[in-house]
Amino acid sequence: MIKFSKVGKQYPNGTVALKNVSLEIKQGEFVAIIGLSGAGKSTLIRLVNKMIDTTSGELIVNDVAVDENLKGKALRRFRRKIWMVFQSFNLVERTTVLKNVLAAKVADKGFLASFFGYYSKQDHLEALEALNKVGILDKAFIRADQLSGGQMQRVALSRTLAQDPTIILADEPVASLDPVTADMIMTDFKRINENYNITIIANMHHVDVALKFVNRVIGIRGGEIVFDGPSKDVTEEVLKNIYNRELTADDIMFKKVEVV
Amino acid sequence: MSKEKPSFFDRTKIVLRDTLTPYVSKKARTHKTDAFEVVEPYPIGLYVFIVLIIVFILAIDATNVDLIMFFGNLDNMWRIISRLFNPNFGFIGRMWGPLIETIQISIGSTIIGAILAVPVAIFSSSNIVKKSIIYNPVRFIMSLIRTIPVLVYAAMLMFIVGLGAMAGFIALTIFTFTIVAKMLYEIIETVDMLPYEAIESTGANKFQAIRTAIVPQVLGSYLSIVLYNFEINIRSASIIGFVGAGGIGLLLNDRISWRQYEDVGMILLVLFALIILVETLSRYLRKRLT
Amino acid sequence: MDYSQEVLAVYESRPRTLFFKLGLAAIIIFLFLWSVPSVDGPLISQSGLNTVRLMFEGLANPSWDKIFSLKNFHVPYLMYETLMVAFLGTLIGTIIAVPLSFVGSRNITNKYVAFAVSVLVVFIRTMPFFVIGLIFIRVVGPGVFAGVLAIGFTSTGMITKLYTETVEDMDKGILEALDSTGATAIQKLRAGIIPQLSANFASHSLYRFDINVRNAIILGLISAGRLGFDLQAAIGNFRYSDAAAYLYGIIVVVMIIEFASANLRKKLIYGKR
Repeated sequence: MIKFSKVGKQYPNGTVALKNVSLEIKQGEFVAIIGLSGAGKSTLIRLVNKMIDTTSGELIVNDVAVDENLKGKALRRFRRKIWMVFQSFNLVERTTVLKNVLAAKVADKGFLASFFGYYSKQDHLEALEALNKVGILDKAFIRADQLSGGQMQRVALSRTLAQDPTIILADEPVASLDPVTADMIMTDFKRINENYNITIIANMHHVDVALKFVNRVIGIRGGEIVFDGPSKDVTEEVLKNIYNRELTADDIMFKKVEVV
Repeated sequence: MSKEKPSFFDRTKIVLRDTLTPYVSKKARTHKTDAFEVVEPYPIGLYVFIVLIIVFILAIDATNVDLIMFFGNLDNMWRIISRLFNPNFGFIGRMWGPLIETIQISIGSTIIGAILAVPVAIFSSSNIVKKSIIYNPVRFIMSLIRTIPVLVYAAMLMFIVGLGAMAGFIALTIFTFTIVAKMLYEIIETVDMLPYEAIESTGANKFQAIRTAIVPQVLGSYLSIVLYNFEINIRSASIIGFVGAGGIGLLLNDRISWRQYEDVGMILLVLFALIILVETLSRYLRKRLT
Repeated sequence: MDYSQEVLAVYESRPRTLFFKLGLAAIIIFLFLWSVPSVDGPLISQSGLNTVRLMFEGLANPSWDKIFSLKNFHVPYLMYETLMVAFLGTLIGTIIAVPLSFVGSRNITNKYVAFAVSVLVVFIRTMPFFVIGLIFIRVVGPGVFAGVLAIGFTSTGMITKLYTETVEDMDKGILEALDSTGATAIQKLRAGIIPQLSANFASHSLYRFDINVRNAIILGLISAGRLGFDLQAAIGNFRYSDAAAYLYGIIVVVMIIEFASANLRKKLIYGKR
């Protein structure tokens, strides 16, 4: 469970990214965060696995207080269960798909094993199983830079699955994909969320994609939460409030927009 | 009305005016058209030339250039050269040992230098070690070490570890170490940092993140750098013997002192072949790596 | 945990690179072990450590009188002399390289002549400049003059190679354009060829000058120069403070030239601004 209590984030140069955010996300929810660029979506997500620190308020994730006391080994153990999926996939392009997925497990390895890049048979099988779950088992030994964008994102996804996380944080996971692939990836996300009860928090740039797949939507504007509720409650009014303007073509991915 | 050709005097005046005025007035360097105005940069070519002449004269004085003696002894030089081109093939027997030693020195020092360079290169990379307090001094010290030529190190080391291959070995290791570290950190800085952050966000420590995300990206270039250094080291290894630090240079020096230029020619021939061999091999391997 | 059939199948079919990697590692380790023991000689000995200590003492306390005086054979003069040697050597190399590079370029002469020149260049470049130095010592006697000649000879190789690359990259279109306006040969040279080449030529020569400064010092070690020779002599005679003074002189000269040449070359290539 993730609980924000009056969390604020102010950068050293004075910019206030988030103010007074209070939020509770239960295990197994699939949540989308929408809003303008710079409204605070990325900041919010990065607070959860402590890639950024809060400057005020309390944040509790999985019964662990995420504050300045969480560091070193404890922080690394904490992060093992929370995974990030990025817009630019963040794969190591020159190695094979399988090696990329295995990289997920390196944090648990000792010094010698990491140095030689050694993974056990069980590690291999778990990684391959994860690849199978997203349907690209056949690409296991191919170099990562020879895949299409959608396939790369699926590799990134299986990288997170291989470690059985409790929370997945997705930062604009489909923003650089074409609509068909985006649809596939989001379906994967939904399937994972439902089958394995993993909490998924996704920053979404495209409103229609968000609405189509998630059950809960959080709207951020100017660092504050202005909407928090089920996707069916998102009306045009709500969207105007969040984006402070009419929706443009940029905010929509699929050709037909159905709001509500 | 027919145009008369201007007199020689007038033409000279015009040429002089056109060439000399740009030196004194900016207006003479300005070219105007309807659309824009262009100012030629100051013509410093002449000044550069004058400076070069002055330096040239100073240099001749400082280095005791004595052309008379040079041309007087030129026949000596031709004699030596002709003997050089008449290599003594029977000399190979004596060359074998020192030659092997040269190769050994180059291989050993390249490997050790390359290994030692890795941690130093990591500490000189601004994208891994973000604080400039760390990477700037490291880079500076490395470039300081690099200014001293290898042979000077070899000469100095001989007073510490004695005559022989050890001095050359250490000198070459130091040299390889500095160059590989510099080339390596330059490569590391061009690497894509995103996978590194991704792995770090999964809970891996810095070492593991480097190993899984950065090493695969630089491995090919690293090996290429090491091979390139091996090329350089073969040449240097053959030379350090001159000051007594082992390898074939020692033999070379000896043969020259005894004026056995046929033997010298043989050594040079074999060296030539060796270097070409190493260079071709290295070029081939390096193409395969990238 | 049970794994599905396909997963197990893929696992079995994985490429076995382990042997290959082990083999490679074995070769490298073997080469290494073969190379190292041959390098004999005591690494750490009492006298050796002593010398190191004395050297460090010398470094901390160099002969300041030699550093700050302008007398002959003291450090500033030696630095100046080294620079002059390198300058003359580079000049000789450049003067020979200019015509030679044109002869060696495929777009000026035919490819056979160019090839012959390139073989000559490779030959010059593989000769260790030491050997050339020693030969010149036999001709003009030991001292800086031999150094100048040696540096001149060996620089020709690299400078010619760099120059031919530049000449071959030259844009002939400009020459054709000038031709069409009726320019004479000299005018074409001045307006078409020289501007293109001069910046690059100057840059290459500066690069070689940088290298030649180091070589001039090294040649001193075989008495075809002075600074390197003095350094070695000082250490050999246990005058560690003098040696340190010379060493500092070497470091300063090389660093200044490296810095200056890098900046000048950047300005030449990217325009004087």
